[in-house]
Amino acid sequence: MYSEAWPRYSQLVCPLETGFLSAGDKKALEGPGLTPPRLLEAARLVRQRENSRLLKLSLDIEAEEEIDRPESIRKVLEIACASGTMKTTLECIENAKPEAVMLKVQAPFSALMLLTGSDRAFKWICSYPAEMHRALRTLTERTAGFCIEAIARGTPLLSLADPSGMPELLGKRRYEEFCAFYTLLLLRKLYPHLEQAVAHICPRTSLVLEKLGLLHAEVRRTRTEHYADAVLELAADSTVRWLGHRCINAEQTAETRAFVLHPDPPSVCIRPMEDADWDAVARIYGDGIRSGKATVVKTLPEKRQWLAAHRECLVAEHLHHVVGFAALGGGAVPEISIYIEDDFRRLGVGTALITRLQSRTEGKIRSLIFAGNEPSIRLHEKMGFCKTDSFRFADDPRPVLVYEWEAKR
Amino acid sequence: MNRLYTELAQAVAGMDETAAERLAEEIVRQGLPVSEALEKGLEAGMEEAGRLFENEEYFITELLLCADAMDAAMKVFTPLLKTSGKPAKGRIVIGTIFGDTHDIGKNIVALMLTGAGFDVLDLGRDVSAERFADEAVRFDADIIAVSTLMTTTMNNIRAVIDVLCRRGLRDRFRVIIGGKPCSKSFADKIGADDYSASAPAALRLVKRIMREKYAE
Repeated sequence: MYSEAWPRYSQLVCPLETGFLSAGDKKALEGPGLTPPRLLEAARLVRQRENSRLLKLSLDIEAEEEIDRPESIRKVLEIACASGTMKTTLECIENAKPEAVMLKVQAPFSALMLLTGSDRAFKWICSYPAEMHRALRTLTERTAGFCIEAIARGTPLLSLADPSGMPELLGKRRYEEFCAFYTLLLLRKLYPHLEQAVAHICPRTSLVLEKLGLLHAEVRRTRTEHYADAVLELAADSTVRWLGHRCINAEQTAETRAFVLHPDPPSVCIRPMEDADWDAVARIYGDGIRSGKATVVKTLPEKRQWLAAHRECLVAEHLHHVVGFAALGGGAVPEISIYIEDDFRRLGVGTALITRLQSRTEGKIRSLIFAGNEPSIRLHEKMGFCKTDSFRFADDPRPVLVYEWEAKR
Repeated sequence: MNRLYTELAQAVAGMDETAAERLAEEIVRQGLPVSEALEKGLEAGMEEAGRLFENEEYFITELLLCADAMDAAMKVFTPLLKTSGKPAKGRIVIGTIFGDTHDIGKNIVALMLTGAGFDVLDLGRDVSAERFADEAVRFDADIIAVSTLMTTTMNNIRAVIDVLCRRGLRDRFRVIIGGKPCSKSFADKIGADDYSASAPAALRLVKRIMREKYAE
């Protein structure tokens, strides 16, 4: 993001903040090395000049080498995520206590665009969508990991922006598929960790997400007109996880409203599985296999083998991504296998899948569930399945419960 | 009109790099005027792409792929252009104002201006007012186009006007602005000449300015 051609002080502060610094300030910040003490010194100086309440640090993911081919994205990304820059920021957060830190985070699409360059990113989402999705998923997971670590170290405020994610430039479908999905995925991953912190979403993004029906806003009156103070106060409220619809940089606007944002249940489209869905189905199934809680199967089967073993498979699609599937096996009483991506559980996806399968089934459906798999047991009982038997597999000591459902004649 | 020009325009608007290159080579092989190919093939194709963009049938991805198709044909034509001596329709210096690193909208404008036959010097992002002025002089620009995405950097655009006034250059260049927070009234307030709300509108504005300039 900051090339060698930039003045050294510019490696410490972003261009927007540079405007607050005098010539003397810039001179004072000159020097080599992006060390925690120098980053903190720069951030404190900007806070003073900006007259801000917040110590602003950035979670930058920087690539050591140019990403000039789509096949090199993931390799460069892995290196970038393992680099010292993000760790330096985390150390700053630790050293800044008890000052109120705001960690600036780029949403996955904008972060990827910084790594590849904007022109390449826009072209590659059309020409190499699979590679871009893999990169975006990696970025989402890594960013979430670092943010969670930052929160654990005492950061009360994450400021999330997606400046490159604009539906008017990308088109609605591409925006949903490459920007909105990953921004929301990141926010969902952070949600359980935001009891004593808050994710503040740039209004350009939060308003678009609301318009798409992905979240909704609740107006909260604040006790202070100073927005940063209000945000920090709300961060301590465990019922407030996401904020948005106002610019966090406009701290001193006279306004006593804040907008608490709540996720809407993801609207899913249930449809028959298509050939192109296999990668997503395999990924979700593979996660289930690796968890060891959902199936005795130890390795992912070949696609052809798996398809041959199932008479029907439905997928749940949200924002053009498969987030779950339910498949019916063969036999007189077909067995149902249902798998939902971790971040989309308890959101109605399983209910929607089973409801659709049930509506297309005459006769019985059977489900085999490990005794300890409480979420699955609850889902099946909610959908009218009853326990009829139990047994154990020869090579697994865990009890397996047999649940069955029969269509009403 | 030679059908090759029409097919070249279709290849550009259809994002077909391979076809655009092949057609350009055929045009050269047949000895057809390159300047006509530029106007009736490449510019026409990009104009169609711009129209589809304005109608929200094309988006930035499609525009960039159209530009790639145009570039593929331009690589074939460029060696011949030096000898043809076709003058540019106008010269524009464009950039995102200092403090702002957003450049997507600016890039689309630059792309459409280039596609329309203008000479464009793209200064990139976070460009100081002094650099806008320096480069406009060096490039012998007709127009300085300044972009910003953020309300917090809007007022920085005024500095470009101030520098031009201080150096006695204000009347030499037309200054146009663009970007989400900007408006015509803001352009008037800071002393810029005009404002455009979108990339196609910026192209129309530049064409109008150049028509007026040559009419003077």
